[in-house]
Amino acid sequence: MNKTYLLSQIFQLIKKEFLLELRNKFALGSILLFGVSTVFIAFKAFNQFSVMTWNVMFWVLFLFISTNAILKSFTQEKGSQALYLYTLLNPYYVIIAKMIYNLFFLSLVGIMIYILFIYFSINPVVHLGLFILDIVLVAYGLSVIFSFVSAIAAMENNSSVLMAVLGMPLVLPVLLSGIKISTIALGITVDSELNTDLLLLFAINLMLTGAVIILFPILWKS
Amino acid sequence: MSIKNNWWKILSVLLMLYVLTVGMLTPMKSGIYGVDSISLKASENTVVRVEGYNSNYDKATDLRAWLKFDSTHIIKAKRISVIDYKMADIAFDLNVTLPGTSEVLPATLIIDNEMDGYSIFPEGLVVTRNKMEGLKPLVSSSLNDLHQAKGFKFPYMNILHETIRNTFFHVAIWMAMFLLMTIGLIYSIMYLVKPTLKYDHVAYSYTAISLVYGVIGLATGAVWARFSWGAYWTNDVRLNMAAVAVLIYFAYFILRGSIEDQDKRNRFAAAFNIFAYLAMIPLLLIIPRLADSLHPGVGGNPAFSGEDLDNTLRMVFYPAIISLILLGVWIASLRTRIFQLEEKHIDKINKASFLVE
Repeated sequence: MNKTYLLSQIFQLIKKEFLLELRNKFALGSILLFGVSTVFIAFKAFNQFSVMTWNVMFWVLFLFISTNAILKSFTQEKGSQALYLYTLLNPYYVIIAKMIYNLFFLSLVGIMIYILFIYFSINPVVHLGLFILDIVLVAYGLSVIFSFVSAIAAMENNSSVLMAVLGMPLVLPVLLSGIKISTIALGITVDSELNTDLLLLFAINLMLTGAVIILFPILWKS
Repeated sequence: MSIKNNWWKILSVLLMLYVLTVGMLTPMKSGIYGVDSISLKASENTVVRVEGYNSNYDKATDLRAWLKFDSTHIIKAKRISVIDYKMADIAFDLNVTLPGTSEVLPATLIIDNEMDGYSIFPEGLVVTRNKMEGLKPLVSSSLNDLHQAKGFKFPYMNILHETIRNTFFHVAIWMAMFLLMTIGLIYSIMYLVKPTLKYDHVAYSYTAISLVYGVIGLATGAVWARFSWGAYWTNDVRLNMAAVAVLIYFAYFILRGSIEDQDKRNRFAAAFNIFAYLAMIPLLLIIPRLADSLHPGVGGNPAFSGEDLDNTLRMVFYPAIISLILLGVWIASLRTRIFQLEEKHIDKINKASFLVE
């Protein structure tokens, strides 16, 4: 199997995900509505954000909105469609495509929440580049973990509960590293070991990616 | 049941009894529990009241004390008046030129006698400099012929006091947990390579016992933290990461419980076990090392390794690890046998439950 075939197959799968997303306007709209309403509730509840609460609320909302956004990643392909994909495709391509698509999607969700936060309250970000990089890195970690967990959860009936239970403890290291970096981006703390933190977050993500790619074919068989 | 095949079970129990008796009953070396005031004002007659621990100040004949600023500035006490077996007033002549230029100096108090050996109060005192004119030059005395404590005793450490015995339980149980968890991981991998029901049972048993160990490790750590830090739970990064690791493993059991189909359940559980183990490594081994933490072994704090672990502690600590590992293996093998029996008599069990209904 040559390289161009591999890349084109992954690309086709990502394209399929995008098309599904765009076609199913209800799903995209529900995420947007969920985001706007939660940010609005947070804003009304606090009235005035301090920089620290801004930081905390941002990541908490990001976590919950991305849980909901990824949950459908495997549940929307059920029954005959999953069987069709199973006979047609190599599971490695499926999970790689899912992860890349989810990375894009979650990064967009993160930036959307950021824009909503600026709109409703303040923009305390000092180092914008670092903050965006942080969002992308955390989105990468969340997409890897939630892709794996949603593949497990999709097999069960009460998948949203199972996904929350399995996923929350797993995302904690990623999220905590991300929050630590974002406090620097917001100018709350000054840290000389920023590069170590970024590298650590990236290394955790990379390790989990490897684990998911190896383990996914086992889950895919069912 | 033959002795030949089960000697290690007997060994584990004997070692645990040894750890419990020796670890709990061995006395501590003498130490300095505290002083009446840690900040001293330098004068001709600076008196500090010392409270000793496990000490025999009244019975000792050769009681001496020093105040050490650094290795070349050591002042010997000019007078020691003993109040009782654990209380003494020590007087120093500090109207001398103290080293350096800073206003206040940290100092270490050392007490020595022939019955208890020497004891140290490391950097426990702060001496405020006397700015008077015409100070005498400092005549440094040397710390020679210090006595060693007699007999088999555990070292005395400030703050830790008697809780140093928790090393045998708290530290050992985490180490045993890591090993048992790794055995569980290996069996999970073996199950995925070759799906045999037995591998799944063994992996489950080892993961279950290591989770129990993890919970006990958190509990013993909480007790220790209460006595040395003042609270059962703190915001310390090591503690919280350990709690998250235990939560991840709880999720493993929830996953097992929530899938009905046996084959699917075993496969998913094995995959999740591998994933959880990989997620646990940064939690317990990498992140705490990079962050600030009060916990020993993290952020430059001394841990119970190398020279910090006294030889007397080692004589109980290593048997404790071996004993806990063997006990864990034993409990896991019992759990596996329950599985096997259930497997064997599944028809009978079903029939019996049918009859009850």
